[in-house]
Amino acid sequence: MNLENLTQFDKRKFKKLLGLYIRELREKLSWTPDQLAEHLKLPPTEVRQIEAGQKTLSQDAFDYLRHSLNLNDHDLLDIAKITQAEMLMDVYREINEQYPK
Amino acid sequence: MNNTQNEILLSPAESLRKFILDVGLPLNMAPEALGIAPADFMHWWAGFNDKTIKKKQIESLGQFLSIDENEIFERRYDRTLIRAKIFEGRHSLPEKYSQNQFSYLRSSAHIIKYLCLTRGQHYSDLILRKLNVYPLIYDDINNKISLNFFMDLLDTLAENGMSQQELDNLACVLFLSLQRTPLGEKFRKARNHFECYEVVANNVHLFDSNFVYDFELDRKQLRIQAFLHYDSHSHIEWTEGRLSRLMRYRQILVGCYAYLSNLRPLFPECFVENSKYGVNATYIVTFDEAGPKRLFSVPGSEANN
Repeated sequence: MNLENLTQFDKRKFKKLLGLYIRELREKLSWTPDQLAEHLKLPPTEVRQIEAGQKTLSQDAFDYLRHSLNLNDHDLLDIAKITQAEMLMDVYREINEQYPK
Repeated sequence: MNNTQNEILLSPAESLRKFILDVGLPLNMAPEALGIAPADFMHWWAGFNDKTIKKKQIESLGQFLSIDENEIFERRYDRTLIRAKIFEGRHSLPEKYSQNQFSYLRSSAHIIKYLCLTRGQHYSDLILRKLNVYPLIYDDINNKISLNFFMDLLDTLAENGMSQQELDNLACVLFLSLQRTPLGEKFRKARNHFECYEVVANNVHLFDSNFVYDFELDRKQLRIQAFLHYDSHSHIEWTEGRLSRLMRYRQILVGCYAYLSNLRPLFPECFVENSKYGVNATYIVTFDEAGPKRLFSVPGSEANN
């Protein structure tokens, strides 16, 4: 799963939604951020940054997260498609004369 | 994965707060579950008195949910099972949503998924609780519900922080509930706008029968007439604001069906006439003479196959 392709529409928004998704997953496991950091062998500050959507991940880091947390690929694709859909809607609002005012 | 490794010990109160948030226990159910007065619960929940919650309350909660209370302390409970128990028997609908059930839940399931992915499960559960319906009704999107529910859903979202832009975007994320379904597959196979709207015309009954539809479709244009009889929906509060919000959503949705086929959305001209009998909406979509414009799809999604 290529991170560049997933983030091509809106990198900032994808990071934010991915962070939310990971936080929700952590909460379902009833883990604290420190426990997640322990599991991932990452500094707690980095985990907090990822959940806040502030961390730009490399492809390797993304793959590691995917496998370590068993992230659902369909959900990741849905997140990417949401960023595409919202980007399109922003464009159409600006330029499409048929878009409802 | 071992939840108890390097576990940080929490007080009973802290454990309980985390548990309530995690499983989405409705706050109006919590006093009964904990065996304390509602006012005491709300006092504690607001952060004023941590001493309200003792081990006894956790034991009471365990009995209420038929689980060992230590599972709550040690955070090794099965969240899915607990949520099923909390919302057990809650597939029933409030009366105002169980009259004239002409909408399928499939026509709003994508909104709930969108809320979960963009604002979190708690926000999604909050919205549904405000509507007095339970998340488990979406277990089967072939279930039916009143149009009133959808209109209330849009109102509630607007009242809880959603801007008009965000409400508009809801019409463009229908793929969240349709992809990986037989109906989604039909859309995916459409090669141009004509074929896409053929799928719409042949399957509109799977979304709702609130409106009586008439489709005129050729290679150049689509024209849809949609009429809603007020008599069939006399239980609904038809204010100008609510009607306007609904018709705006539907106008954008007509344009965004093309996105299900990975085609550029074509927003329709829309003419709405209101009479004492009902609402008549006409949508006209003109197809590109130059041919369909495929959007760049997300690699790895079915659209690439």
